[in-house]
Formats: sequence, C-alpha cells, structure tokens
Amino acid sequence: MKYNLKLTSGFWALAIFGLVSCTKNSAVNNLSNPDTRIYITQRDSTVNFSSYKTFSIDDSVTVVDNGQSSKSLTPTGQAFIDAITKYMQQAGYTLVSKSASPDLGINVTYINTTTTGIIDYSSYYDYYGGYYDPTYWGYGGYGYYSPYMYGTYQINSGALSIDMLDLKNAAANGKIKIIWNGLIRGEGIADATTADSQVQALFSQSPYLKAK
Amino acid sequence: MKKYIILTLLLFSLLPASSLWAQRGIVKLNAAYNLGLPLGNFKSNYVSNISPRGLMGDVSLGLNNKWAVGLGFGYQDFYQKYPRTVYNLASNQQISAVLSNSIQAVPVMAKVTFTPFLGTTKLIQPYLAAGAGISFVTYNQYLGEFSSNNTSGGKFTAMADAGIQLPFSRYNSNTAAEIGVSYNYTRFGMSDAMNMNMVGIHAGLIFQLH
Repeated sequence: MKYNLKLTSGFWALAIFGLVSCTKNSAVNNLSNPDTRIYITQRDSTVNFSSYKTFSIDDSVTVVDNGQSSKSLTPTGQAFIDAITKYMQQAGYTLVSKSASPDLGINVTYINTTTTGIIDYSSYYDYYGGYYDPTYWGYGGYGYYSPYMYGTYQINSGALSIDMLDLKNAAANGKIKIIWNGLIRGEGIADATTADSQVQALFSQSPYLKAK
Repeated sequence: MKKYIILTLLLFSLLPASSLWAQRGIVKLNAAYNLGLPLGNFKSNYVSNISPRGLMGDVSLGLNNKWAVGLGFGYQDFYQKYPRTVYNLASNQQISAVLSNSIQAVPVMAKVTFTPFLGTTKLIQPYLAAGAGISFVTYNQYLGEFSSNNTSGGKFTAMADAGIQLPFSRYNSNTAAEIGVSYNYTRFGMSDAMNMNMVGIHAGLIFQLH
C-alpha cells in the first residue's frame, strides 16, 4: 500500500457535504485550486446504464442558495451544460429535446451558501422536488427518489451537483429515480475555463456510463 | 621557575573540571535543529518525505561527570501530498482527490544522557542518550482541501540518541556544539501500521543555564 487511505462508509455522509472539519490549515493552504477539488460519483448499482440511449439536459443551472432555489444561465453554467453534453455524447448517448421522451434527464445544480457555520444539507434531496418540478420532465405529480446522502459542512463553500434521472422507467417505477450523481467540491469550481476538465473528471471515473 | 608556576596554575584551573563531581548540579539547555527521516510503516503508509521542519532539545541536570538527567522536548512536522487518484468509497462510489497527510509530533520525555569523557579536556565528547515519555501527535488526512480523517492525542514515545559534543573551550565543556543521530518511536495507533518511526539528524548548541 503506497499510503493509507482510511475511508469508511461513514465517510460518504461526511464527504459530500459533511466533511469532518473543513477548516484549512497550513497543510492545504498551499494547494492549487485544482488540487483542492474533490470529485465524487455514485451510481445506482442495480442499473445497467447501457439500457439507456437518449438524454436531455436542463437548459439552465439551478442555484440553491441557503435553501432557496432559482434558475440561472451564466456563461459558466452554459460551459458546464456544454461539457456534460459533450461527455454524454462521447459515452454514446444521443441528445434529444425533453419533449422527445429522453431515457435520461440531467439536472445541474450549484449549491451555495453565504453563511459561514455549520450548514445542514441533508435536506438537499428532501427538497429536490421543490428545486426541480417533475412536470419539467413530463412527469407531473411524480416524486424523486435518491439513495444518496448529504450531511453537514462547516465553511462557506460551493458545490456543483449533476444528477442523472431515470425517465425511461419513471412510469413503471412510479417515481423518478436518480441513478447517478456527480459532485464537485473545492475552490474555483465556478469557472467556465475549467468546466470541461471538471466534468471530464467525473466521467472518467464513471466508465460504466456507456450507451453500448 | 616561571614555567612551573604557570603550569601549576593551569593544573589548578583544570582540577575542578576534571573532578568526578564537577558537573553535578549544572543545568544545561540543549537546543537543536532536527531533520526527520520517516522509517518503516510510517514511511510506506503515511509520509515518505524527509521533514526539514523539526526541533529537539532538552534541559538536563548533571549528576556527575558522566550522567545527566533531564526533560527532553521536540517538534516535528511531516507533510506529503500524493497525486490525484480515484479511490473507491464503495463499489458504486468513487472519489477523485489529491490526498495529503499532515502529521505533527511534540514529544516531551524524561531523558538520561551518558557522556563518558565530560569533565576532561577532550574537544570531541561522545554521548549516548535515551528517553521515554509522551508525544502529542496531531494527524490529519486531507482529500483535496477537506479533512477526511483526523486524530490527535498524547501517545507513548521513546528515543535513543548518539552523537558528539564539541566544547568551544578545552577547559569548559558546558558550552558546546552538538551533532547526533536519534531513533524515535511513537506508538500512534493501535496497530504497527500506525506507529511513527523516524531517524532524526540534529545539530545544535548546548548552554549552561545554572
């Protein structure tokens, strides 16, 4: 073992938004912005991603700021949408309009807080239906389902979350399952010039995202 | 005749320093810069980088010309950054991160020093020392800028040290330079993989306090 990485299942809850203590010290003060970032992906392990062929992506970024959501499309947001589209297509999925019954829907969320202190984001998925009206995807009245956890975190920091929705089986499931989540945390996330490389990192560690 | 008078005076001046008990009750401060070289599991599992950020020293009380006891202290800061790698959190969860290990140790220990030729006029004085006590260790592992694992507390520590003291005067060995090599062990965790083993290379000065 090159070095010891002690990651337990409990770390997951901490890792997303609940890192034990986000207080920086001299050990990490000298990290470059790219080195401060972590890229976390998780998937529904019961899903065969090659059974999906088409996708659509929300045409704006939802900004969740201290629990309040709003739609936004800045050049940075557009850069992320473009990058996600690019890497989905490279994985073999076909981009279609949301009115063309896509198999997959993709939502992009920038989660922000201006409050320094202990913030509880465990409600992120609890309020997902408030951030994303299922009617947008043509499934009004449906609820969302996610097995993923969010915890608490302790600094003023942003995160970018990409959620992949199973629209193909929504009717059969009676809900919209979130079958893949990619999350980026760290410094300098909201940067159009690095959006492509950030999204690439998520896709490169998710080789199972293949349409064939 | 004059030559004999000078020689006699010189011998008298040397007598206190060469008597068996000349060092008894003398309090000295030893302060040194320390280079820390990780060893064993500590090196392979946590930090392989040499730490240039270290100090060590002691305050000692002479018992006689050969033995001194005292309180040893130190500080060592280890840090290593590993390139970005994808780690499995679970079979369906991955994280990509630059991993950093940061470890600081502040040992405080009882120490005994054996200096066989102290009190003689030798300009190179070898010594041996050993100590045991508690090291206050802080360990942080970071994924990116986020702390994923941290531990701190007082842990058992022991050390052995050997080197030479170089008195600035043939007739007063209480002020000297010192260079030496130490082996330090700190039982940091519950398993051998968590023990801190390192070799320290140190250089510093010794002053008489009392």
